Amino acid sequence: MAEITYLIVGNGMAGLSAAQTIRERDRAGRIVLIGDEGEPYYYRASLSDWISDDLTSAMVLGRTPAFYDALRIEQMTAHVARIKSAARRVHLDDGRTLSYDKLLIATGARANVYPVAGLDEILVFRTWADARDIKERLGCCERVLIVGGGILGLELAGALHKVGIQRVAIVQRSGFVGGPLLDADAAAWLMAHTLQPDGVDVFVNDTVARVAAQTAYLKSGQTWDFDVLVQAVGITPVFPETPGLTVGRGIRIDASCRTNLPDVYAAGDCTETLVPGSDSAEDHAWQTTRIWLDCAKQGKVAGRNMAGEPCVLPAQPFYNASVIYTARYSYIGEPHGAEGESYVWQQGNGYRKMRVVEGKLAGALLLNARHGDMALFKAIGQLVGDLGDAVAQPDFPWNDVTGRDWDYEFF
Amino acid sequence: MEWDGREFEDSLKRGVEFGLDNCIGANDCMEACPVNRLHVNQNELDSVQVSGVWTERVQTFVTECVQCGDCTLACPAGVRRDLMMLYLKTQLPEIPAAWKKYYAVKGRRDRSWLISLLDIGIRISLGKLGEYVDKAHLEPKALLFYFGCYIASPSGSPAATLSLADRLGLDYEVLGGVRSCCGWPQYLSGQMGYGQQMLIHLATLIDQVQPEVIVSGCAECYAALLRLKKKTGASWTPLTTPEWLLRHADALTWRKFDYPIAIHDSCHVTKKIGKPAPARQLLARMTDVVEIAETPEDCVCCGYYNIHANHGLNAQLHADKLAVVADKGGAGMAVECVTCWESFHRPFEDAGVPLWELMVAAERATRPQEEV
Repeated sequence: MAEITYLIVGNGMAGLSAAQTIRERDRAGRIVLIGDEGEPYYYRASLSDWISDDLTSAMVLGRTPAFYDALRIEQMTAHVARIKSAARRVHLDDGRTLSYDKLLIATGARANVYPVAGLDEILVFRTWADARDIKERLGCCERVLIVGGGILGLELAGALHKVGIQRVAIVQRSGFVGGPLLDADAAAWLMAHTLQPDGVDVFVNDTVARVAAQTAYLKSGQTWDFDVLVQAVGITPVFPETPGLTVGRGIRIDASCRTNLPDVYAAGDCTETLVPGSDSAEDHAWQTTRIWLDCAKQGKVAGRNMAGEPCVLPAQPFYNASVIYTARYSYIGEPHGAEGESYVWQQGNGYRKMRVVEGKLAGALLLNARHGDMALFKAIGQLVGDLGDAVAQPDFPWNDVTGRDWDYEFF
Repeated sequence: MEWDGREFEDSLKRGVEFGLDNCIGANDCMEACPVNRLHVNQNELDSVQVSGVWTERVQTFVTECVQCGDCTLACPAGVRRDLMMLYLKTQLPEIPAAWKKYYAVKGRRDRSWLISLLDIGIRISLGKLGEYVDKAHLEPKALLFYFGCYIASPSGSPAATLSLADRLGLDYEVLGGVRSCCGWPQYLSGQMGYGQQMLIHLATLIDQVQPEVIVSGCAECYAALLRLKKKTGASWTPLTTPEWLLRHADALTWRKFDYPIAIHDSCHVTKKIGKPAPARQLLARMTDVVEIAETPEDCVCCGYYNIHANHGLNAQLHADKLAVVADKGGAGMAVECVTCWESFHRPFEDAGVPLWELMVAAERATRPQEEV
């Protein structure tokens, strides 16, 4: 068999994006995509919909079997234990070794697990296997306690609400849920318009101190009886042991998704990138990658570079749109920060926050009322002047600010 | 003016790339689609999109897509699934036979001799309106009515529009005929470069008129005007026919119809451009307006883009529309877009339910008493 030209370790969004991108540019090279979950690429972000039976298993898979055949992307299920970059070899758990010309590490992250006194089994929510574990237990379950009120915890809570779990509780260490996507004000909106009306118990500034039988004893002194407890308390990058690789919390990559090792690239949740304008020697100057869209972009950039087409990550404002609990959100640019002025509009079940710094739009957070979000994306950095609360209104003419009709324009 | 003939296709590709990156696999798009009779999933579409290897299911579904935009409205992740479907339409392995016939002549300047022959026939059939078919010389005027291909529309919209303009004492020029096609039919059939050329040619025709306002009663032509304006930075203002007439409505005397009329929203104008209000405001001058959907964005498409691709599918859309109009208490239905009229008129006629194109309705409602 031909040598492996491109070896991609990790078949999540970053790995698949890289594989697709490479094949577009190299029709002949052998591409091998290794995953260790035993599943082909799937939409991690839709696992909650699978739990609530809105999606079948076939729908959660990201690509059809015919796709891999058409693009000649070989799939392998294995766990990579070690990478010896000088020899251009990866060592699998089962003792096999694979050689490569170009390597992409896209091994993602694992869910954090914090031991809790009295709790023997800790369920987390990251992989499809985790989702199966949770779903299996829902049949005879009326009460679910979610430790961690970030995006993932809220996503799970939304799925449980859809499925009809009678009682759901969220315990959040910080003062409000939904951070860093939401600030305190937006979190209060989410509480008032979704979580509270749905009867979700939310404990903030709190943690689970211990568990005894089916009762959680919180640090605050409150208790909550549960049938199932799930931790959704963040993720930590994971990657194979790779001597010589420069890492922080994640694998450090440059704007071309290169690591410090020759012909070794990295992309996705396993990486960290330098905050623009920061000193690379400072640990806090590096930020981990956590957003689906960033994983896709990094995979594509890595793929292009691996295939011999130099490029760098595009400098664009941040954009992320999805669902938080049951509210649809668009998070654009940097909507939260101490600088500048913030303006909020709320009406009915809609919420819009704009942040203007030195007369320019710095960021926007939209909840349900997402009209014009693409115009806002294009308007980041544009002058809006001193217009006050008007900028947060749904009918504010962002198209005029950008000079394009983004409601209709084809990008 | 220099344009890259591939600009439209390139901009669609950017939309596709954005969509592929942002899609989180919720499949809400496919659940919302009113014509997904094969229950195609989003991952099937994206697999074809990236691999270029078509399946029969996806090919059928893409052919039958009516471009209503419900998929995009449903998406939680900001993906323009409608544009991704449009791009897939341009990549179909074969252009549907019915489309080939439909687009055989419109805007085909290489078949100019055929168009000239057709124009003779069209001019004769249209009577007075015929003078505006592919006029050799256009005069500078502040008001331009852009009818394009639909100058010969059986809806009667162009004649009604001009009657209203005459009634208001307005001076205007008219751009009509297949030579001024906006290019949309060409885009739909995958002839992206050709479609772009048609738009460029339209721009040169408009330049001859130097208008301040351009009015169109076709949602796709109106969308083309928007694109043209943004591309060229032109100073003229594009208006839908209701928007235009509302500016002059107080100068007319309105008589009410003696029955309530439902309003059908054009997907382009309501869902994609976001202007459901003008059509309603205009209809409200003539009758009690009946809403047939929870919101204007929920209004189900007329199926026009499925033209000839699947008669059964369109027949179902039409039957459902008749049923909902009756259910909501409408004794007739009004549309602001001539293509919606053309999609609905036969089934509505067969059912004995009045179907009004808004300009035709307005012309009747404002006709001087002595002419009634």
